[in-house]
Amino acid sequence: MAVEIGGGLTGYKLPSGEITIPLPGSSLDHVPEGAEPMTFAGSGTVLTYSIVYVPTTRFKDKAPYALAIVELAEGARLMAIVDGGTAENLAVDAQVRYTHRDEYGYHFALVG
Amino acid sequence: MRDIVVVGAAETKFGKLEASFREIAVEAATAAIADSGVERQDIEALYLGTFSPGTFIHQEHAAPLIASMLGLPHVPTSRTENACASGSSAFLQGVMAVASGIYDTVLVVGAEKMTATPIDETTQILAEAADWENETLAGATFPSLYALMARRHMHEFGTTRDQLSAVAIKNHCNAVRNPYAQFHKEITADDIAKSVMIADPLTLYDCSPVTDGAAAVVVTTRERALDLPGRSIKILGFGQASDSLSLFRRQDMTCLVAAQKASERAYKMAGIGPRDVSFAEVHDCFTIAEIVATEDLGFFERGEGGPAAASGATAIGGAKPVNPSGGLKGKGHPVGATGVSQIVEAVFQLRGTAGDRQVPNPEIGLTHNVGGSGASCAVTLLGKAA
Repeated sequence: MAVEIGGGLTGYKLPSGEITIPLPGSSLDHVPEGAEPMTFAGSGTVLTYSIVYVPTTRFKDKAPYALAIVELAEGARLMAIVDGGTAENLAVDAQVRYTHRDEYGYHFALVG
Repeated sequence: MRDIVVVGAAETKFGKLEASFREIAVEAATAAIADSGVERQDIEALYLGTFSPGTFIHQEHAAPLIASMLGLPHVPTSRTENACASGSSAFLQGVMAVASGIYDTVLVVGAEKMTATPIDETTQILAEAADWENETLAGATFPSLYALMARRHMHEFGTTRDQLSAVAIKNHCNAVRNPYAQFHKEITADDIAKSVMIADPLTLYDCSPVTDGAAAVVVTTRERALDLPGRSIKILGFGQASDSLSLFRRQDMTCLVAAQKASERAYKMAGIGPRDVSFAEVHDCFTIAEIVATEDLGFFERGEGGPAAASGATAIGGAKPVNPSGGLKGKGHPVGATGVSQIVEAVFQLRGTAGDRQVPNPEIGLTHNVGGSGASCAVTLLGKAA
């Protein structure tokens, strides 16, 4: 997957209210009718996390890695990797900021 | 709705089997038909629950294959896929077909052949039942999705490592008494603590295994069953529900709303409540899943599932026995077979033929089968036919 490294964090809000952050590298040219494009500032909170030791084949060279559900300041949620996150330094409610996107999805880093 | 019963039930041994997908499906189905006493020409349709035979063993379109091998030529066949709830979905399709009056007698089979596939490919295949674009491509696996639930449950309710371990210890203990189970080895808290970390906080012993296996039941009307030698067990109620495929889209990650909705519907249909359930076979694909299930089904208050597991309340001799078969954790989890196997175990328990793992004097059994991280769920209530 060719992905622009360092690209921003964008998505759209459906008329139902559901916010979608599409695959890294996706354009927003085909958003459903009535959807409202959104750009996110990139600050977020870890709602929960896990350190993944046994991954899928796609991530086998990446493990172990910290997987988290992040809630952005704008209210959207996404599954993402927290680079540098470990069982020792991660916690529920930890503050993170968006850093970049690549073939492994969206990346965040711990704040502070 | 007509009174519906299960009149025949059987399953294969679970584990790493030499036999092929088609062979185990036929073995279970043949035994269930024999158990029922139904003549093959009286079986009017076949429902097959299987998750992904196309990727595991390169065989799609499996339902007519099994029907022809069984000697059921030209019966209508259907395959259901609802991830790990594929088996219960097939079962309820069969139940509703008989309830509707379209058919009087149907065969339901659940089967999966998983151990012939390398483990990293298996992890990938299972992860395809999650939201591929937003979860799997972001690094999620099924153990990690349930680990995310476990971490949040620990945060909100104080659920502990020892409480997770209590589920695994109990289910391995029950599986030792089940001749069909994959594992016949008791484990200790120390074994769990020392086992390999899969997705923190879940270790290898928190996870259900990769399993081959098949299960089958014959479903018919209560009236038709009066002429059959098989001891029939009545369907008291059932419910199905769905939810967002993506865990992160759910407002609350410490419960499965699909399981709550499915059980509410089943209890309402049966006219009973959680207190009336004598035992349950629940979807413990991971230890945290059993704790969440016992809360979603109303057996314990939110946050009390962990303490209840640690107290012994869910043991065979406890106040609310859960997974007397050993569950997915100890008995094994051949994905498409699991939901049908839960029905088979409920039938054995209610007939009083569960041997060393028999729950004392059960009147009502509950089965709870979950697809994915909770995007689909089916709950069935069964009882002794009067």
